[in-house]
Formats: sequence, C-alpha cells, structure tokens
Amino acid sequence: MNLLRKTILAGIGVAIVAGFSALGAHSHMLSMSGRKDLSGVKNCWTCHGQPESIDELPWAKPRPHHPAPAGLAVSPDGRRLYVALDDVDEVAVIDAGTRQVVGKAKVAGGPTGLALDPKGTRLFVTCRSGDRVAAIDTATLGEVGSVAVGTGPVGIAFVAAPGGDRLVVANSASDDLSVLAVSPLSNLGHLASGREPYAVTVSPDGARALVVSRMAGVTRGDEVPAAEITVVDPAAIRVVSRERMESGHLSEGICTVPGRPWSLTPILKVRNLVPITHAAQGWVLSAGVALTDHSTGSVVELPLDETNGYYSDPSGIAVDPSAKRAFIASAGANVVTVVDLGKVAAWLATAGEPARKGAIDDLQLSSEFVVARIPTGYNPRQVAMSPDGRTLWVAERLQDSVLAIDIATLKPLGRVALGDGGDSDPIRRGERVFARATTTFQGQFSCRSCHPDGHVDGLQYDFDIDGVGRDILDNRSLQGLAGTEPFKWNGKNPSLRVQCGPRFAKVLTRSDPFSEKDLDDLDSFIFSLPPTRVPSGPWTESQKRGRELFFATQTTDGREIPYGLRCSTCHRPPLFTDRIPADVGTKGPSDSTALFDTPHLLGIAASAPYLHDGRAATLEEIWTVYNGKDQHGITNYMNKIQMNDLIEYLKRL
Amino acid sequence: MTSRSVASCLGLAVALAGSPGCGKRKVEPIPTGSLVITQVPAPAGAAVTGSLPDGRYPDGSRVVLAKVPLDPKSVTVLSEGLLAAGEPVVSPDSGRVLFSGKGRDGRWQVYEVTAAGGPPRALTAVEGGATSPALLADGSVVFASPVPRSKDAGPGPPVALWALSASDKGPRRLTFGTDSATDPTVLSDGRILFASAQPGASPGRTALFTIYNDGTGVSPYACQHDGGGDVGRPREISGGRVAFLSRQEKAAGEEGQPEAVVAARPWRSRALLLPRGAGRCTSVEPGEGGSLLLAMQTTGAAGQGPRGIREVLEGPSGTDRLLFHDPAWNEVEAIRVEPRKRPMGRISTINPAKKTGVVFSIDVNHTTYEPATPAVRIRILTAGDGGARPLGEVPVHADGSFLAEVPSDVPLGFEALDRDGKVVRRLPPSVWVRPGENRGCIGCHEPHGLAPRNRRPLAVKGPAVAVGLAPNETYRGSAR
Amino acid sequence: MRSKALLSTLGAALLLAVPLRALAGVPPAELPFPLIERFEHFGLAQGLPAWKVHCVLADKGKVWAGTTKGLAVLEGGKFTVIGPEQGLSHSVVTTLAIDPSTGDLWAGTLRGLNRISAGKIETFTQTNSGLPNNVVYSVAVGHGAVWAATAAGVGRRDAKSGSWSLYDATNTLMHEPWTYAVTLSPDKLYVGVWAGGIVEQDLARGTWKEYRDPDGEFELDLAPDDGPISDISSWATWEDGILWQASYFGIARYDGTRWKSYLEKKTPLVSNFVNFIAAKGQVAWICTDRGLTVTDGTSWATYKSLEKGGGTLEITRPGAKVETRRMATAASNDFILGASITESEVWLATSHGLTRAVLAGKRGQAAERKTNAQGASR
Repeated sequence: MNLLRKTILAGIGVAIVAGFSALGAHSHMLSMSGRKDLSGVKNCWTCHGQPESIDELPWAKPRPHHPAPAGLAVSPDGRRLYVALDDVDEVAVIDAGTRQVVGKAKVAGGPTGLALDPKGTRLFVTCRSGDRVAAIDTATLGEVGSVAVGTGPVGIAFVAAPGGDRLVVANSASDDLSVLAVSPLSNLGHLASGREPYAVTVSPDGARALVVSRMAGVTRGDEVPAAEITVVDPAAIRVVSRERMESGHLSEGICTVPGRPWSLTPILKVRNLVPITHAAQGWVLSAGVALTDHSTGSVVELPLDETNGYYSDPSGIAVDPSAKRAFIASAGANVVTVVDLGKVAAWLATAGEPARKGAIDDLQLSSEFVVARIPTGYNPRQVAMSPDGRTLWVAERLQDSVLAIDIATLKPLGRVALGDGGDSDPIRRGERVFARATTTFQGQFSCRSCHPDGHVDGLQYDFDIDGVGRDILDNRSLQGLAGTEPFKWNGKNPSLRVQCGPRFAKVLTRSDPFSEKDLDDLDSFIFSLPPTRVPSGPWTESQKRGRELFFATQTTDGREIPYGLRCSTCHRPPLFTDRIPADVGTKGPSDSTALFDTPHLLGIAASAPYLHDGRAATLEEIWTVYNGKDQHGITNYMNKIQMNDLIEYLKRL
Repeated sequence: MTSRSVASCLGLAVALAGSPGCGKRKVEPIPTGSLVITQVPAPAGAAVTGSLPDGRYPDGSRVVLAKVPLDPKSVTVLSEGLLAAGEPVVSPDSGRVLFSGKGRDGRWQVYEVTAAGGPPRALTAVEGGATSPALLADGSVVFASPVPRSKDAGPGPPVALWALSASDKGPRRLTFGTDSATDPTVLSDGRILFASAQPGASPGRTALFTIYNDGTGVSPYACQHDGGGDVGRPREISGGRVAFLSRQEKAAGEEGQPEAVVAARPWRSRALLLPRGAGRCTSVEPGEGGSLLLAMQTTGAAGQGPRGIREVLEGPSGTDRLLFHDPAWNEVEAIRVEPRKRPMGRISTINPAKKTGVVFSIDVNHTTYEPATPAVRIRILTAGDGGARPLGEVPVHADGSFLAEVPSDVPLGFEALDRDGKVVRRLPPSVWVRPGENRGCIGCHEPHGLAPRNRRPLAVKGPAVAVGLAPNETYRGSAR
Repeated sequence: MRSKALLSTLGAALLLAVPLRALAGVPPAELPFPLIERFEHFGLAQGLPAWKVHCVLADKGKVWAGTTKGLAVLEGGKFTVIGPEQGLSHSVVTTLAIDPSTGDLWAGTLRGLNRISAGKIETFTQTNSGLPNNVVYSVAVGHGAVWAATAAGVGRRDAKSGSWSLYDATNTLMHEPWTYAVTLSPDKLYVGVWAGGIVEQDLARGTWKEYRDPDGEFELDLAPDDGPISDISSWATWEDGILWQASYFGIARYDGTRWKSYLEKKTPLVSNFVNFIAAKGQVAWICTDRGLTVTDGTSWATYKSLEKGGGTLEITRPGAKVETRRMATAASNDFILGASITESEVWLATSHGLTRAVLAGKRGQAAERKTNAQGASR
C-alpha cells in the first residue's frame, strides 16, 4: 500500500474514531446529566470541572483577617471608645483624648455589637458567630460572663429598668430578640421580631426597646415589601407594637431623639416592583430615614438623597444630646450625612398627610434639612456620639480605622488606625468595590444595596433588558458562589467577570463598567464569601431521614425514580448543583424560558423566597404548591412527615 | 488615496481618538491655571444676521490660550487660520481644546487643538455645519447641527445634537424633538445637559433638559416653570450647582443674566448668581477654588464698557477681580484649565436592530394638572406637516398605567383623554425614544423631582400596545 | 341561784342553737369553686362578627373569641375583628392559646395556624410549613414549642429553631390521624385522638403511651373507671395534676395513676355530649350541648337556660340534697363550645353568642347568708 493510501485510510480511521468518540461523549453527557437534551451542558468541564471537595474552594481556604471596626460604644465619662473587631475576635479600647489604642480584650465568636452599663464597668458584646453575649469587665478587659442567645446576634442595648436591668439582643439569623437579665447574665425570654433584626436602641425613659429588622418580610409577586420596627417592653418581656416601613429596608441603625417621642432609622427605599428602565429619578432605590413618632405610631419616611445625587447604604445613626442634629453614615458614599432635626420638625409641622406620604419620593426635599455631608474613609458604618455631644466617632469598616469628627465644626479631628487598612489584600479591595456606590449612576446604589453581606434582600426585580414586565427574578445570594458557575438566572454568564462586567454596567449600574483591576478584586471578594452559616451539632433523626430522601433512587413504594428526576442528580454534592440550567416546570406567564440556572443549595434555608421568581415563600412550597407534576424531582409520593424530613435536611446544607 | 489624504485621515482618526500623536512621546497637558478665551473684535462690528455663531463670533473672532501669568500680550492663538472661532471646551485631562470654528469656506465646524499645539484640525465635516462642542467620557464629541439661526433669520430646521467618536463612521444623531436642542454640556454624571424650547410654552421660552450619551432618557432638568425667559449655555459650577445665562424674551443682544440652580433641587432653587444689573455676561464657568469665572462687562455705566474675564468669589467676604482683559478685544468666553474628574461613562442601551421603543407610565393620573381628571386612554402623537398627527391610542389600566410600543427616533407627544374623549392633559411632540429604549414615566406631568412609588404597574403584566405602525407590520419583540 | 338559772338557760339556748341554726339555714359547706352570679351576652349587636363562637380566651383585659367569621377581640368594651382581610388564614377560628413567655396569641383555624403578635399575623399552613394539616383543632404552648392538633396528626414547632416535628399514626401509638386536643403538663404531652383515646408523650424521653377505652364501647361504660371514658376524645386538658378527657359519651379524669369516669346518668353531669373542658385548680368547667357543669368530681354545679328566659342552677354537695336555684340570666346558648376562666369571670363560647359569666365570689356567699337568715326568720 502506498503512503498516500495509508495516510488516507489512517485519516478515515481517525475520523471514524473521533466521530464515535463525539457520539460517545454526547450520549455520555445525556445519560450522566439525566437530561433529554444538552442545552446548558457546554462541554466536559461543565461537570468535570466541578470541585471535588469543598476544601478546594476559595472560601474554604484561609484568608487574611482584618481589624475591621463593627460596633462602637463610648464610656459614660466620654474618655474611652470601645470598638468591636469581629474579624479578629477582639474589642479594642481607645483613649478618646489621645485617639490611641490603649487596650484590647479577647472575645471569641466574632464580637459585633456593644453596649455598656450606665456606670461603664461592664461591656456587653454580641458574638455573631458564637451565638452568645459576653460580658467584659472594662477595668480588666477580661471576660466575666457569657450567655447563649439566638443565632447571629448583632445589635444590643442596655436597658436600665426599675424592675431590673435588661439587655435586649437582636438575633439576626434566627429572626428573634433575646431579653437578658444582667446580673446574673441570663436569658429571660425571646420574642419574635421582623426578618433579620439588626439594631437596638432604648427609649430615654428605659421603658421601651426599639429593634429594627434589616430585611423586609418574605415578599413575592406584587406584594409591597415592608421592614419592621419592633417595640418591646423589656421589663414585661412583651412586644408592644410593630411598626412597618413600607418599601423601606436594609436598616442597620436606630436611635431615639432626646426630648421628642421619635425614633430614627436609616432605610433604603426600594422600588423593586417598578421595571428598571433607568436609574435616574431614584428609580431603583434611594436612601432615607424613617421617623417614627411613638406618641402617635405614625411613620414618616424622609429622603436623604437628592434629585441628582445619591448617598447610598445609610447605616449607623446617632443624635447629639441636644437633639439638634442626626448623623447618618452613608456607607456607599463614604460620607456622614448631617440632618438638622429642627428643620425636620418645622417641615413636619406644616406637612399634611399627602406630603408626609410622598416625602420619601420627593428628592428635592432632602436639601431642606440635610445640612452637610462629611467625607470619611471607606465604608463608614456604625457611629457613636460622645456623651458631651462634641465628638462623633465613625467606624470606617473597610480601612480598619475609626474617624473622630468635631461636631461643632463638622470637620474631622483625626483618625485611629486599628490596622493597616488591608490595601494589599485583594479580598479587602474587592469588598471596597462591592460596597462602593460612587461608580453607579449618580452614586445611587452599591452591590451591597441589594446584597447586604453578599446575601439576599429577599425581593424580586424586573430588569428591562429582557422586556418590561418580563422575567421577574428573585434576588440570589452570593454567599458560597465559588465553583457554581455559570451565573445569572438563566446560566448564561460563564464567570463572575462576565456577570459583573460591561453588561452589568449596561443593564443595572448605567455607568462605566468596573475596571479590570476592580473586577479581579471583586472576583476575589465574592468567591471568598462562605455559604450562610447553618446549625451545627449532631444530625437529628429527621435530618438523617431527609438525607435518605434526597439521595433516594426509589419511592417509598418501590418505584424507580428516573435518574434525571432525583434530587441528587441536578443538586449534586459538594455544592449541590450540576451547574446546568433545568426546566422544573416553573415557567410562568411572564417568563421567556423554562430553563433556569440550577442554584447551589449550601445555606439555602436563609434565602427565602425560592424559585426563579421567588414564588415559593418557604422551602416547603417548592414541592407542596409548585411541583404538582413531579417535574422538580419526584416528590408527590412523600407524605407530610417525609416532606418535613427533606426540609430539615435541606436546612442543614 | 494620496499619502496626504492618508495622513489627514490618520490625523483625523488620531485626533478623534484623542491621543497626542503617532509617536510615543508624552505630551504635557496645558498647564493648570491657563485660560482658554474667546476674543471678539472690539469695538463690536455691525450686527451680522443669519446664523447665531456669525452674530456672536463675527469674522476676526478667535480662541486663544493665555498661560499664567495671564498676560494679554502673550497669548497663543489656537484658532489660527480660521475666519472666526468660539465656544471652546477643554478636555478633563487638559490635553485637548475643542471649539466651533468658521473655515475659509464660511462654514462652521468643530475644530480641535491638542496640548501639543499646531493648527486646528476639523473634527466634523457636516453638511449644515456643526457648533457648540462638548466632550463625553470616552472622548467623543457632542455638537449641535445644523448651525443655529439667529432670531431675525426666522425659523429653520431644528438644530439637533449629535455625537461623534473615533470608532463611528459618521455622526450619530441624539435628539429628535421638533424644537432645536442647543448649548450642550456634559455633566459629571455623564448626561448631556442642553437647552430647548419648553414644550407648550410661548415661543422663545426655553428650559434645560438632559439626555444620556446615546440620546436616550430625554428628561427635564431645570427652568421648566420658573423664571421664564430664554436660558442657555448651562455649565456645572461649584457648590453642586449648574449655572446658565438667562435672557428675558424681549432683551436685546446676546448677553444674559447669570443664574444657577442647585442640582440637589433644580426646580426649587433657581436664583441669580449676580444681582441684576451687575453687568452683561456671556459666559459662566467654574473658576479656581470654587469661584466663578465670568466673561462680562467690566465696571462702567450699564451697557457701556469693554468686556473682560472676571473671577468672582461669592459670599459676604467675596471678591471680584479682573483676571484678563485686552483692550483691543472683547473677551466673551473663558475656561480655566485644570485637571478635572472625567465624567461618568455609560454603555448605550440602544438596540439598532429595532425600530421602536417602549414607553410606560406608572399612573397617568399622577399629575400637577388641576383638576386631575382621570384619563382612560392615551393618544400618542408625532409631528407632521402642519402640526401634530396621531399615531394611535392605548388604553389606561385601572391603576392609571399604560404600556405602549412606539416608533423610535421620531418626535412623540401624548394626550390624556377622559371618558368622553376630551383631552385633559397634553405634551406636544417634543420627546422621543431611541431604538430599543425602554422608558418609564412616573405620571403624566407629575411634579418634577419625584422618585416613583413602589407598585407594579398593571400595564406591564401584558404586552405593550403598539402604535404607529401599519396593521400587518410585525414587531421584533418577545412573544407573549 | 339566779346565775345558775341563767347558765342553764344559756346552756339550753346553746343546745337549741344548733338545731335552730339549722332551721335558720346556716350556710352549707363552701363549694370548692365559685358560683356564677349572672350572665352577660355579646352578639352581633355588640359587634361580634358571627353568632357561632368556637373558642374563647380571656387574657390580661382582652377577650379573644374565635368565631366562624374571624377572631373577635373585646377590649375596653369594643370588638375589633381580625379576619382574612387583616391577614388571618381563614375566617373559622377553632382554637386559641397564649404563649405565656411572649404574650403572643396562637389561633388555629380551618386553614392553618396563626401567630398573632402585637398585631402582626404569621400563618403556618400544611403547604408553607411542617404543619401536618390545615385543619387545626387545638393548640398548646409550652416547653419551648407550639403544638397543634390537626386532622392529620400533631405538629410541634420548636420556638428556637422553627423546625417542625410531626406525630401521627405512622410514628406514634396513635391509631387515628384526627387529633382533637393537645395539652401539656410539666413533663408530658397529652393528645386527644378522635377514636384513639388519649396518647401521652414523655417529653424528656420522647416515648409514647396510649390510653384507650378498655371496653371498646363508644356508648357504654361497661367497666367504669378503667380508662378513658371513650376513644372518641373531643377534648383534653391538663391542669394542676389532673388530665380531663372530654368525649361525646361522658368525661374522664386521670390523676396520673387512676382514671375516673363521669356519665350524665350516674352523676350530675348535665350531658354526655361534651365539647370542651376548661380547668382551674382541681375544678373542671365542662361545656356540653345542654349546659355547663362545674365540678371537682365531688361537688357539682350545673347551669342550664330556660326557654322562657333566665336559667337554673343545680348545686350538688356531697351527702346533701340537690339545691336548685332560679337564675335571672343564663348563657347565650346551652350549646357551649369553649370556656376561659379568669379570677372574676368565666367566658363562654356558645353556638349563639359569647357569654360573660360573672363569678359570685365572697359577695355571693354573703348574699347566700342573707337569704338563709331571711328564710329562718320566716
């Protein structure tokens, strides 16, 4: 045989082998994915590129820790400032006069919120990851007491009540409040709050504790979201009333106003029900402050943003002792916004009901009472007023420092450096990008505005790029995202760089896209976010049974569950996603496709509501209401106990 | 192609790209503190009729660069070789100066001189001429075309705003109203702020409006209902304000009263920058350290005296000093050169494959009109020969919302009709949508400066009602 | 001599005094429970949204009445109604319980369980939670959890974690899914199971125990005091060491060791058809289809209404004749579905209105003495 013939035959042979290989690969992908078509399966890497174990993921690896300031408390004599450093398990003590760090207390479990007793001898610290409150002796800086509370405690306030001092603790992850006795430090009871209670304050007479919850209650469809201010009688351990802030949420601070029956809490006023055709005119959201008059129960939302400029993510709030001004940290704009309360009162005195209702939407109104915007460092969050009303302390969270502002001049006095700022850490730099609103059109919102802590705000949005009123989508958590590409609700973005790149700037931020460097850092930050913390401890029998059901290959009565309809096929460990979009029978009248990105399930219990448009209020509803045809797994054979077991298992992921 | 035309094409491309030159040597920007000044021959010559720039910048007008110490005897003429020039604008990096220039052919185009120096290069070659340059974030040029006519020349085709970037084959039109859009400036948030007739108001009454860099999002900015008169030449200045020149309707000449609005509340803050009668002003620009840089008449009897460049620091202990004046000229415009933050950019949302856009209102009964008669239908109009002509009607839902698909790049107007078909509120054809643009409105002439209430409009639960096309025409859009 | 005569006269008088006292109607031994002095009616005219009241709960100055048209709250003399329009899951409210640690009210309905807390309503249904079934018959709060008796078993919601546990015939000794009552003692959960008697869970160990009617006869009590009176438990309540079981065929009382049954034919129980029992101390207030009986098992008082208006009170003391009294007022209706006892009154949920029964207390006894004295003087 001559060389040419050999070559030709070899070529044909290779082509045949390649063809069969391709066919083989094709049928392999079909059978292993359990699907009838390969839409969404890009190549071998879709499945074989998945991490083998969680340990490979960025969030499972050690990362630098930073002394980022969380809660602040000023001693009654004004001489000391306590700063909670949750990421390094310390509370720093600062001499207010010299602005030097003079001591540190070791507090395990992520110290976050601080409250002092009236004498300043005891500092009470919420430990967010330790689910406890620690008592610190301020003289020795040693821990002298500890009590378990609910999950994820953040805000805390000391109530000096005639019947006995109390502490009220906001447990952000268990949606309840703990009421504690102070000595001995012990649990007296817990009360239901709104969703993600975050900040606590006490009325001047000590009779009431006010707690603001950060997330709105579970909201679906056309429901108008509302977050809650819970008014508590700490002596009787009772909820007295619950005030609603309509379309107001993401509050991280609350304070009362001396001499007035008011409480103030900063909010983001969200317009998630309005199709996002642009950002101007506060179209997506705007910042405000909710003023509750506790003598009448009325809530007025006042704007902090302007017609052509926004100061996003308002966080901590403090009022000076003479009740002249309120100071709000605008975390996304790196300023402290100063509000003249006398002007607010004057406006309220003449404003009728329509003006009060419409105030938050009147962007020209804020300049009637906003008197200054004081520049700060990165991401100002919690603030604290010195008892003499002369100094405002501002936690500059993303540069590891605390800023002192002179109240008389509204100018910075100086800065206390708690660390090096973390500039060399890409995760820290990425978090700054994430928290920064100034690169959005007119600074209206940051990534944090809809993804606080990288998580969800529990709302659905209508992006106009796919048509006005079409493809209404539930906000998804970014926690635990690493390794779960592709992204976007339809799985069309192969990486975070694409997800957060120019198209994102076109569709949402309506501004310049992130620079390459910012995208790199943002990548590092988002992938460093671990999944939402779930309960630990021994597995209950119900959870174990649930696990069996999740991995079941047969129904209870012995019928085979087809491979493509087993939970564990599309939601395969360790991330509980096969990363391929799937049709689970949930296409709605305004959806353009039936194929939705398969979400990962780590931490799933914390991100209600569920399904692509948030129609399922709870995990149960995914199957009790929205799986009538067994398209989202074969589940209709389960009885109620089995369904409950499955849910208990999912809550453990 | 001859080597010379190749070179000029390259030069054009290079100039458009804003890069300093073919070589790699770094060109120093224009030094901070320099002034770019328009000088008009003094004494003023006979009033020129016809075009507005010919009137403002008669032949002999020039754009010059004066470096510190701002000696009038030591200026560089940037518009060398041109019959007349004016309306300079400086890039944020102090590397480019653009201005309107009248070539030897008598036509006005936009010219550019870079910090490297050299003769001005034409950036535009538009039939009808181009004036009033402004610079977008990506270095693209915004300009007005055709050349605006002067008042006594009578009406002509409306002036539109256009954009031209290095990668464009030709200029892209941005505005599509029936009235002229002039005096563009680029705000720090990236929008183009311009002057145009206030819809429905008496002739000569203008106000300020904005669009995005691709002509989408036409919106009112300021002066819609307060103050009256004719406003122009808006510029961002210190203190979060936008300054402009206003002229009451019967005022003579081209000077104006400097006024400003505060960007935080543009419809509640219109105020004089200088007391009335302080002098006749032809430009307001940001000065050093928060001051104002004004081109206006120096001290002297009202109506008399030469013009000069003044720096005014406002406030009770304010100052007012003459920075520059050459007695042989009238200085009518001046810009202080200093590095400035680049405006915010924006990626266009236009879909060139489409011929329509989508408009919705959340509640057409949210209005300042009194009485706020409920509307049940919206008639959508465009401009035709002899006035507005209807394109079609769309129903209003129970909550006051409507959703319509409308032709893009044509003037659009809206009429709200009550149960009896009577028009209860009206916007004459003066707005537009670009191809593929989705435009939401809060109400139907609702109060300015509002953000929307958080409600899902009923209208968006169904398909957009199409107006303006023949019955058998299909749309490119998602099927329902 | 005269003092002797005086003494003997006095002595004779004293001797005679006893029978004289008896003749004069000396107040009999005090009853171990207060008597009702009068009844006040609340109906549509007073603002009640519907006549049929399934359940009632009086707590700290508020009276909650579960009707077929929503939950009515009486406070300061006025009713407000919480119904589906205000966010309640269904208009038919079947059962109420207060969480003493928070003051929250739990309201069971025909379509789910609601937690009402300072005006906010949170609904748990069989589709959005681990509630076994939407038809909720009884709710109890304690031991860090909320229990709901439903038409398909008992659900327990942990107050701290929000996790549900479900108990039915597949994982307990219950033989029937319909659970009509849940009630808690310091260490046990008792479930009244329709056609399943009483099922008891040891809360510490998690183990179950079952109490069935040993004679297996619905309508006959062949061997008295051998266990639950009937397998058809319509209600159960535990209080002060005693578990009371209600059925449509009498009631039973369990002290942890011994059962005791009570039937209408054999005791002053006004009717075997018992809807509900509320207990305070060792005393049961038994709500039947034909009136209200109050007893500690030894002393009895029964209230019935009369067609012509007012009602009767029959008092049975141990070893004494039955005393019948006419009363000027009576319950709104003798078909009584629920009761709630406070210090000074008992609220009754009836099939035709809400009734407030004012308790006599010490004032009542003084009135009694007065009556007797009058009787003696005649």
